[in-house]
Amino acid sequence: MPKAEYDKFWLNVQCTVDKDVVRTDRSHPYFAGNDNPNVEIMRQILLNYAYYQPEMGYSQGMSDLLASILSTVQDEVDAFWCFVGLMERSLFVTSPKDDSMDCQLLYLKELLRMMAAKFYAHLLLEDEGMDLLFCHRWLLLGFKREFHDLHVLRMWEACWSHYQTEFFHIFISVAIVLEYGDLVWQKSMRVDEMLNYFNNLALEMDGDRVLKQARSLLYQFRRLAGIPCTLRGLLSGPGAWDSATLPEIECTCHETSTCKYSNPPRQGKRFSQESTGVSEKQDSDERVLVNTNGHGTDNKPSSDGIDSNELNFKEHQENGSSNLKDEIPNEEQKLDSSDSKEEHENGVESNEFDCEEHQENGTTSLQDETSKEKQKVDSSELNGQNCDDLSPEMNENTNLKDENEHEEQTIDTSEQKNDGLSPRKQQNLNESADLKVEIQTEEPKVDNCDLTEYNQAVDLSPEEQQANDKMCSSVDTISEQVDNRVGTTDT
Amino acid sequence: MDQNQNCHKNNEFLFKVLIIGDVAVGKSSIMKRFAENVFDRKYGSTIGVDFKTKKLKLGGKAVKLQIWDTAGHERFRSITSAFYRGAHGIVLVYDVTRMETFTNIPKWLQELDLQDYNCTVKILFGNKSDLSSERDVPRETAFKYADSNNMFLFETSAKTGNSVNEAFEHLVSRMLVAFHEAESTATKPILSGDLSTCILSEQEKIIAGSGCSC
Repeated sequence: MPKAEYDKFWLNVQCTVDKDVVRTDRSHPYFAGNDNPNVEIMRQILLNYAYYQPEMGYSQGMSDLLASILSTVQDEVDAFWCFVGLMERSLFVTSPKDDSMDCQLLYLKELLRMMAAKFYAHLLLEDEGMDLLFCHRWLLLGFKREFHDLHVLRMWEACWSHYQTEFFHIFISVAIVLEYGDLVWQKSMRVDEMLNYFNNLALEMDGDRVLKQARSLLYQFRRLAGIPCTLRGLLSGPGAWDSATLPEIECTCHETSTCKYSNPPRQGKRFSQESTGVSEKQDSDERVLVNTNGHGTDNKPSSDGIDSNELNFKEHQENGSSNLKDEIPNEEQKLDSSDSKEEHENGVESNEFDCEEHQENGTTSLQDETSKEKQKVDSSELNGQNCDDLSPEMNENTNLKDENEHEEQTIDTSEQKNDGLSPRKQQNLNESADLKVEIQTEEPKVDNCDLTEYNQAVDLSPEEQQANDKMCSSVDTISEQVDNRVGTTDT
Repeated sequence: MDQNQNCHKNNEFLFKVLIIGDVAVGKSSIMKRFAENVFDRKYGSTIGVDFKTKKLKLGGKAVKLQIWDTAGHERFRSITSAFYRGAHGIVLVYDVTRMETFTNIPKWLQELDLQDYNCTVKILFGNKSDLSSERDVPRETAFKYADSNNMFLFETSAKTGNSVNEAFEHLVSRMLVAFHEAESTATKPILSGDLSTCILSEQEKIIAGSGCSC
């Protein structure tokens, strides 16, 4: 780089860094107050990073990402190397290339098409709806400004674990849309209204709820028998798919000359453009059945999870951070424990403990947390039990703690089913545990019915399709009955 | 013109205004001061875009302003370029305490020229005028530049609120003129993007004149 250009580059970096550090997270206790030395530390780290990685330099948003790390690690050197690692490893951070942003947006669009059909249909109607303006900040800052610190760190950990996908943040984005995006299509919001709506949701959303939903979506996605070729990239990465059956890749882009999945066309293509009309009700039913179906597969060797965690720890040690190997036995217990209520409570306590440790010591390495997070995900996946079981709120809402294991699972299923309901109905359900018992008497029928539909979905003959349609209409009828009952009880 | 059909509905004008300029010149602060009449020095950097609306009445006409706040850093320019489309007004902001933000204004103008827009009204804001002791851009230099580029300049302070409303009102009056100009010349095949086609009428000049210093 010529000297004049180099000088200009540095002037630009310094000026931007100087302007940004004084306005990053200043309400956070760690950076609050005038002449706070931690602000200067943040500045030094960013300048060092720009010197260390001149091709990345400094981009606005980096200070946001660093602030979370620095306030957690609370050491300049460690925070610097954590930040270097974050910039290297994570795809969701500010990327120097726009095409990687485009790639992420493409994945998001495709997942929305599959998992949030009504929202996607609304986007199609709006001019420039496909620019997905409302989620650029989500992706660039890893949800940093959308949720409170603790939730953001949990989400980062979940993303960094690269569990089954390197694009878990895309699933989180879809989860936000599913949890909070119904109003968008119900009120036919325009693109600018949509942006405003989601911007106003910043720091108002429930991070735990979104994370749970995202895990559920990933699980659902992973169990699909076929995926569109446009989402082939979601299968990439070291953690992708483990030993699970690889799904069929189906061409939906119709670029016959360039797409290697373009032939032969399969019957009953599940994700072709024509089949995007899958109703949300069906989607949510599928979610129920996926989890139900997963139950009982806990004989999958849990040692897999432990091994990979050990790898994580080794990697972690190399990075010069603290050793948490001692914790493995405890975590192992957590993995082995699965169904008993007592163990669930352990999970909850451990979860809470993590938070306290995080806040009080502030020194817990982020990567250690990543391993724990991964184990939690592993645990829920291996047991086929919903991740929801670890949620404190869930246990609070359920008055059936003393009931036997079977009933508890069924309630979890109905709880999961509720995800597809409107917030009002969901609230109603949460308020009445007795009602849940009533509902669950009908739920299994719904699940079994939809399970059949689900398993056959990919290779359907026209006759089978017809039979399935009938089944689905009966599913709808039952769901309506359930909904009606909810409404009646409410009044 | 589509643009004009879109911006006049139910006797209310809807104008899309973009705020652009270098990093940390006060774009978000200007938007929030005007739309919500608040100021907080702790605003984080804008990532992507932000957006506010403000309704006002000017010369008996109801106007709804959509104000789009863009990121100043070049990293996000490719994203923000999508927002230039359909803009009726552009607010270019520099910081009177940093000369480089003023000397970069031509670069922002160049970028505007690359965009696909129709008869966009441009206005220049010299922000942070309350920091008079730190002033780096002489008032005369700035007004001379604005004049030679056929732009109106307001020295504003988002912190104190000084001249912010007046500047926006002036912008709105010019956009209304541009709207009527475009309507009356709608039969012409192309409306040039050049500002000279949006000349102020005498009547509108009177409305606009109150806050104009040039």
